[in-house]
Amino acid sequence: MVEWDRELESEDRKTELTSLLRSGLFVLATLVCAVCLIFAFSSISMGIPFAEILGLFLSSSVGSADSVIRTLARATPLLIVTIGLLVAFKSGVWNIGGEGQIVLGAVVATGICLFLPVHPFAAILLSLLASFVAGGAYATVAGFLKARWGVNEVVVTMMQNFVALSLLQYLIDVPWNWGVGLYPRTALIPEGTRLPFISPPLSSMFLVALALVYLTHVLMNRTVPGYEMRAMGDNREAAFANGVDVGDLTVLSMLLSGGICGLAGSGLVLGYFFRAQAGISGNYGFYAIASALIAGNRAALAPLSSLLIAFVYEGTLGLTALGIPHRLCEAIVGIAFIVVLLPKRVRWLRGG
Amino acid sequence: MMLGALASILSFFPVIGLATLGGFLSQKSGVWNIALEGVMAFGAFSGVLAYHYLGGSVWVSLLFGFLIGLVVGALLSLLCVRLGLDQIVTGYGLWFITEGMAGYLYYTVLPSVRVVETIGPDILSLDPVFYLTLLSYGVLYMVMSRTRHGLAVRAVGESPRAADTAGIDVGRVRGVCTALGSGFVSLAGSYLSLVILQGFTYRMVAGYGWTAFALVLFGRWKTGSVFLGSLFFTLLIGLQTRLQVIGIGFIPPEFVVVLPHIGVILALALAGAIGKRAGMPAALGVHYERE
Repeated sequence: MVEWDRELESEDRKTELTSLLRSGLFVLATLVCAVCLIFAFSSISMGIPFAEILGLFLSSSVGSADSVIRTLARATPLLIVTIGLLVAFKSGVWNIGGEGQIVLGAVVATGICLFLPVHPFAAILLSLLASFVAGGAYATVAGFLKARWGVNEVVVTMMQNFVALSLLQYLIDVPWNWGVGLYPRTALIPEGTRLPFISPPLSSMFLVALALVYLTHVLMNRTVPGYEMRAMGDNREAAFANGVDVGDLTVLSMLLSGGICGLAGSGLVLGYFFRAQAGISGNYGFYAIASALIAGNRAALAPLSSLLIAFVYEGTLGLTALGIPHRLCEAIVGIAFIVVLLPKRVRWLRGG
Repeated sequence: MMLGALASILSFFPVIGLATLGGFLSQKSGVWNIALEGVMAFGAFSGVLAYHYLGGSVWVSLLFGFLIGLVVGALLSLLCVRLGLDQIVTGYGLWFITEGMAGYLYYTVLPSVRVVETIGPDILSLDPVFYLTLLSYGVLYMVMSRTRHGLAVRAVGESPRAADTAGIDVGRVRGVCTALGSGFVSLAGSYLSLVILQGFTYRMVAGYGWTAFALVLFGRWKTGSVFLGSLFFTLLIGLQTRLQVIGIGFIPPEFVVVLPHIGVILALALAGAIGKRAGMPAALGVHYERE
């Protein structure tokens, strides 16, 4: 019986793998075409040779050891937030408040490192823990409202983004303002409270991100709460009818999701900026929505999708030198996640 | 003086009102349009683009913004209604594309900031678009409650299978509602850029699209409540702008800005606490496929 199940499972895996491969190829091909079209348009409207745009895009994202390290550093917070969001998405809970939860994590970490008179190492541990709690508690508000009164979590988490961003703005404008520099920001955190680099600007937070991928994969696929969360994500009513406590699980998934996003915020402070400043969340909260959905909400695929977006992010960042606005990245990512959806619904892509 | 202040607050009404109306129409037929924020940004860009290239008439530019919205809505309905992709995920994608493209195209096609002038004062110095918005709500109310078409929209949102059996083309009704709704949302964006802010800046929509999305839920999918809700939030936003100018002693301006956002959360929580999800179209977000 067990043998037979395994055989069936491996058969399933094989067909899944081929369809994944086929749709992966389709997605890549379509994306490359779309990006080339946009570059061609930029080339015509701005009078810059096409080859120069494409060359700069590639050289700033993967062209040298330096740019590869930069892309990996970009992928780090993105991967953490992606993991955070997919825990909620997989449970059928739409946490789009990643941006606000990152900000809260960053604020808490900065506060602890700057003002708490403890041993630097303790400050690091406390920052990581507190940022998880802060982000998790913030998201839990939305989870609770959904569980208790069926309040739409998309709207609540989105509105929470604005509130958290304005809190950060207030802190860096007034009480924590370090009056030096062009834009408002806090002072640098002490040397001892910074995470070691693997190779600047790639910090050891990258390893934390990879560990989170593994832990989340195990949680979602090998544990009871993970199984129940997936069941709830597949069909909330059916899960409820089968005795799953959907209310508690909604709150739990939001807590974990927001907590992991908060962790990304402290990672940005401890391992990248070493301070809180305007725009610290870098829109990772939004890009991670795309990243999680491109990965099909599977933790194991999150590193790939995060790398893909980091690659586009760094490439288009390089293009700003030619006067092409970085907003282009957002558009390309948007195209990417609609294209990713297509293979599931368009019959000739499924090969059936 | 009082009247003037009220008029200047109410002149913001079309931004919220038209966007909410657009989201409402689409949801009523059973299609989530989560991309309101992005569609508004794209409408804002399209309005300024048309103003620059189509002879500088604000009315023509507003119409152009509306038409662009129809096209975006048609794309959404092609993906969600025809192909049956997940409405929420597609909506996020469309939000990214429209907002990103608006920012990207603005700086590549229209490299310098163009300032446009207003349509001109009217009775109570309110913009004609304000009255157009009121009229749209009136027409919407009549169509939804008194006509065959309104009945078809409601039927498709509540029970597409029954509607199909009764000979209603579900795909067509949903497609038309989504496209038309998106047109109104885009028009709200064009009005914002052409009349209110008189130019385009990135992220100028500042959450109004999400507010509009929330207002449909807050209004419980009823035309009258949705109208009153958007009027109320226009006043709240007006109040916030005033407070920001005057300043209140103990609240820093950074926090005054988010009063409407906190208001949205509280309003939805309150509405939820009172009556759960009553009024939501039963087939909202559910793809319908003929057997």
